Amino acid sequence: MRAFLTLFGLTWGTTAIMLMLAIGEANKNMMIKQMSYLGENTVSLRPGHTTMTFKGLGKYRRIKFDIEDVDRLKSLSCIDTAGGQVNTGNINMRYKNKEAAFDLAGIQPTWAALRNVLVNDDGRGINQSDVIKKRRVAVLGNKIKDTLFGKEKAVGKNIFIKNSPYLIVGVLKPKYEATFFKEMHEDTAFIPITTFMTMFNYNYIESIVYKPKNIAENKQTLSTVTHFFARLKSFNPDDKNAIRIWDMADSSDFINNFTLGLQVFMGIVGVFTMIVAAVGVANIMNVIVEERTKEIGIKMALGIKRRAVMFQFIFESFLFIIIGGVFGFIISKIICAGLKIAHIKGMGEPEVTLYVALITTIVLGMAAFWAGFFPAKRASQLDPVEALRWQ
Amino acid sequence: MNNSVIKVNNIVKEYNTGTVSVAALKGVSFEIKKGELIAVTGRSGSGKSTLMHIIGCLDQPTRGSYFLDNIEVSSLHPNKLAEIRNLKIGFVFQSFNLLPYLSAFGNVELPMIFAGIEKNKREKRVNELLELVGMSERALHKPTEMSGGEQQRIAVARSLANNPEIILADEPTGNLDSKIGESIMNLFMKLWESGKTIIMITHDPKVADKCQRKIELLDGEIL
Repeated sequence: MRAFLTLFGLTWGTTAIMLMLAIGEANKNMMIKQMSYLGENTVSLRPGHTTMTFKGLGKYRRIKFDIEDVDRLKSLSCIDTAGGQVNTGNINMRYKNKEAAFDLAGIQPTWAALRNVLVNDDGRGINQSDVIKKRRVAVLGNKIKDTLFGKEKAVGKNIFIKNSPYLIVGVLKPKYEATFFKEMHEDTAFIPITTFMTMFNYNYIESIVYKPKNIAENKQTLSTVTHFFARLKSFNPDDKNAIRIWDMADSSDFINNFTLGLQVFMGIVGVFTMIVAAVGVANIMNVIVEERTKEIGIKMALGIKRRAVMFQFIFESFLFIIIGGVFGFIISKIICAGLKIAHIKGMGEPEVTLYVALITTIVLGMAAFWAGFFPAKRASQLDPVEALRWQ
Repeated sequence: MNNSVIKVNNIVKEYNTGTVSVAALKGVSFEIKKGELIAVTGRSGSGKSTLMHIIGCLDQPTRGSYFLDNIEVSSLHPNKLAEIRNLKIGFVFQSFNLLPYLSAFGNVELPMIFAGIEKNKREKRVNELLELVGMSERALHKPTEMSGGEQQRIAVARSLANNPEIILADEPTGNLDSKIGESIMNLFMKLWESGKTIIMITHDPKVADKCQRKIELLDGEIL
């Protein structure tokens, strides 16, 4: 019974460490994957309002981007490419007798490229010629396609957006489920930015996304861009609220730190569970030494050396922990496989990787040595005469 | 030196019981020659067991010197003592002290495992010894499946495993009925005749009478 409970503790400890590390790792990978959908090493700029006076201009002045600002930004030598976007929510879309409200975005093709907006192979994205000619073409988010068309093919059909007909030229590839980042586009329809601005009578755009030419000089580029817009729109370059900046490189640092913290925390919980289990093993080994005192005495009389006695008990506690560890490993594998099938949102795909197995093995080995060492030392230092007398 | 296997000089063994120290042996000296059959006798509390523990290198004297096979053993390191017990001394206990989870074969084999002898040599030797004590057919039996006399035969076979200089037997017939006890004694006589040095701790006069010489203890001293 005692052995069984200890074994259970060991199995549980191993499972806890492995699962926590595996889930932590999965979470990190998932976040990194989601990040990449938003476009790696891109910087997003949204106009805000001033909070500092500048050259006689007051505070709380709205800053606005117009479509020409994208080309102005592109002309900077440190910019690789840039794209603009404008959007609005809750727009009625209709196909035959089905209708529903979704988000609508007007985009430049460069924006789509920078944001990894990927279109299924049977269609195409918004292109430059669509923008120049203000065509009424649309690319649908996969959720819109599913709602309005079901299994029916959408490309080549017409839908009505705000009662105007649009030709569907493409449907988005389904992306990884969004949890951490909102902007996943599955319920957005994309049309050329020029078409959008004419249709809604917009003079300004919502945001600009750019990619620096030299990623290593990301910070410098950002400063150049800020100063460029500060001169253009007349605001203090130190005014952080005039343009709101979302730098993906910053976000990936944040995610790395966040998930590392999460893993460390989960790991610590697992390690503590393991310590409790190891104390159990130490306890049981002490009882075993006591129960086998007579046997140790006999073996000593027959000439066993102290280190051989010690080795025997350390070996036995290792055996205990290895059995517990193997059970824990198997259970973790099964649970990970189960979680993969269940596909729980926000969990990612936990897997017992080499890294997870290695850390667990190290922790287990340390626990086994610690649990076995002291009882084994006690056994090896028994007085042979006393041990032989033991009843 | 001469052919003495054991030479004990003025051995004192004191036990500390709190503030008072009690002497179990008060300056014991004797010599045992190779091939002798000796009885160490005395009433209980006379110091027989203490003397046996010291002779058997299970314990060390407080004072005095002890030469075993010309080696001074009274101040050796525990690991060295373990080696001496393994190779030079064969123990036979009153309560047999066989390991219950091992077969007769496994019990006899044990001292040879500790000595690091190869498997095939061990097997050969175990079979010879089981034959010698007349227990070949019980090789695979566990101690619990054997009678007291049979268990003691296995213990004798085990004591001979590494072909030691001395057989140290502590009341070897104490737990056996007289008939079986006699057969065990006959086994010891056979070993003595083959040249072994045998020391028997006993309070049975019949056993002591069969020995060549008696060392009689009283209150920690030789009479």
